[in-house]
Amino acid sequence: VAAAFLRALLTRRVPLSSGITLVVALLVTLLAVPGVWAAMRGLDGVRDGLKLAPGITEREKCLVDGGHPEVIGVARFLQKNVPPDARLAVRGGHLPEVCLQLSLLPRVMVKASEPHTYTLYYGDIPEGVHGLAYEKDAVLVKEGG
Amino acid sequence: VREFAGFAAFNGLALALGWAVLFATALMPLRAAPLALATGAAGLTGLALMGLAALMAVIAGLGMDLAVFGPLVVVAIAVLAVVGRRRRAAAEDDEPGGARARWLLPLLVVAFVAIQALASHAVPVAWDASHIWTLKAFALSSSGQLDGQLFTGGDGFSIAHLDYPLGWPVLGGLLVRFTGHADQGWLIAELWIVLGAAVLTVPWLVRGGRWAALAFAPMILAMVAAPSAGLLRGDADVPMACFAAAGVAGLASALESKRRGYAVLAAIWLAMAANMKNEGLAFAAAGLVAAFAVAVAGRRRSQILTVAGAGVAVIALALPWKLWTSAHGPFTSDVAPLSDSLSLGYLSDHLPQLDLGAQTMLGRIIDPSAYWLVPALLALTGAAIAARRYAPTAWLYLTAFVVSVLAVLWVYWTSQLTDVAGHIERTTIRTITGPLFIAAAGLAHLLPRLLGDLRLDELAPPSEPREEPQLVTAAERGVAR
Repeated sequence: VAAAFLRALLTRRVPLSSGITLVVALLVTLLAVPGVWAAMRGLDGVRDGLKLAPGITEREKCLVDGGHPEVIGVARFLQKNVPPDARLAVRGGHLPEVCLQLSLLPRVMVKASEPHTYTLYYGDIPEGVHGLAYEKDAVLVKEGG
Repeated sequence: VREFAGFAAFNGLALALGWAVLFATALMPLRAAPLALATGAAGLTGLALMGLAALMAVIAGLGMDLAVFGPLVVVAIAVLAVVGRRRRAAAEDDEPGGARARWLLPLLVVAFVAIQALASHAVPVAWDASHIWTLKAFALSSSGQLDGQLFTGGDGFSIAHLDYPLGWPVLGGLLVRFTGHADQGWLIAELWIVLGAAVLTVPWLVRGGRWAALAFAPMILAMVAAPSAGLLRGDADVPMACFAAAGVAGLASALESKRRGYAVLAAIWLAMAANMKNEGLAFAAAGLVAAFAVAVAGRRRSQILTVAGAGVAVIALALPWKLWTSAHGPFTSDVAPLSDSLSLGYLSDHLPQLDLGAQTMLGRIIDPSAYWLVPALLALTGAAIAARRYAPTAWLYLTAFVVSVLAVLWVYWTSQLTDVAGHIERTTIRTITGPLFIAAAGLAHLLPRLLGDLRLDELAPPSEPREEPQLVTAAERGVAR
């Protein structure tokens, strides 16, 4: 393409449309190889930027990135005490529910108004709620149990 | 080993299904070389069909049981193979050509994708993926149902964008079921495969001619452009852009070659794009509108009907998700309601948003990391239209690109988010991906054609006969034979 371009430039008048085609062909051809090389390095940089902090799992990264590292303990508590096929409702304080859902899968988080097998009370625990406690923040209640 | 076997089985099944579709639509003879050269298109087609089938099953509440899904795909392959035996591919599809570049460049793309997929095996779940794409893929892999607050809504779940189409999460969920392990590394590897398949698909669609290998250059540039790095974050923008660009190129090939098989592929790919992101629906519509306008301008009834058929298929496959969200919503959306966004007063009040959106999009387009693909497309389509060489094809890509950009700008213009400036700054790197890939596909289509049209034959050795300008495509010559 380069040879054709030079030859055309030196020996004859080139129609504008042909000149544009040759220039574009030359441009994309010349850019392709350095582009691949630059991408190799750039993609490594993106991967490095996504690395996990020590001590957290892939699914807990969401909680850390969202500024809720304190919820990691609650998530681990629920993973340990709620069976995988459970349907869990959350009542009470503000939890990053979407990140919590990622940590808890395959357990399904549902609205409190829908049928569920476990309830997590978080934050201000109402009086009379008894169940498995996580520190002072959360109480897990098995429904019908 | 179990996970890798599942990953290979998933992609092998998709590839076989795609090959069967290409065979049934008479776009590929059943011989080794054409089969190998069509690998990208076959993979993209098979993945789209499996994703669409699984999505429809999930929306219908049937789940995605592998014990049912696997045999169904095998039966579909068998039926398509029987259909293919009754039809015959055009002669040029049997001529893979001797140019080394036809093999070397696809192999380079495959090597790049393989290296990137391996290097990405330990990439953790990034922010958007952990709230939308990967989260939903993992959830669907375990339940197979649109169950729980993640899909039906709840106080804190609007951040999961419940109105977003589920094409990628369903495909990802299906993959997880095959591998047996919910791992982000496999999802990222699959995204690389989709990207690699799209890069191979467009040159396959526009194959033929002396300069055919040049079609790889713009597609490779799109693959390594900055927006493609979003793939590592597990976002759906890159696969959506892949399906959208392949779909537009499929429509252009259908109109150029008059072979309806390409329109079938285009409909499958555009339907998948429409089911991957809301922008995908807009980009699919842009491609269909552009193709319809070109077909109408050409006054060929068969072409108009072909594009219309593809449009009906895309609408039919995009509609179920819209109906599901309508029935289970309303969900919080990035897109303003039509009652606002079509109001003149509202639009004039929000003009600064359009200005900011346009400036930011323009900045992304001319950023060196986008490799000047868009300015190159504008220059090349302008040249093609001015010279009346492949003008309908040029108009199709130009219109599809412009309408795609306008669709994104309209969303920014009418956005009701409080931090619109931040939203535009954060999202344009992703929303530009679709138009960028359409531009790359346009370049990949037009460059080899226009170069083949130039009178450069004086550079050839004297013994070679002088060729006339290539006024018909290789595909047309094949049909004529």
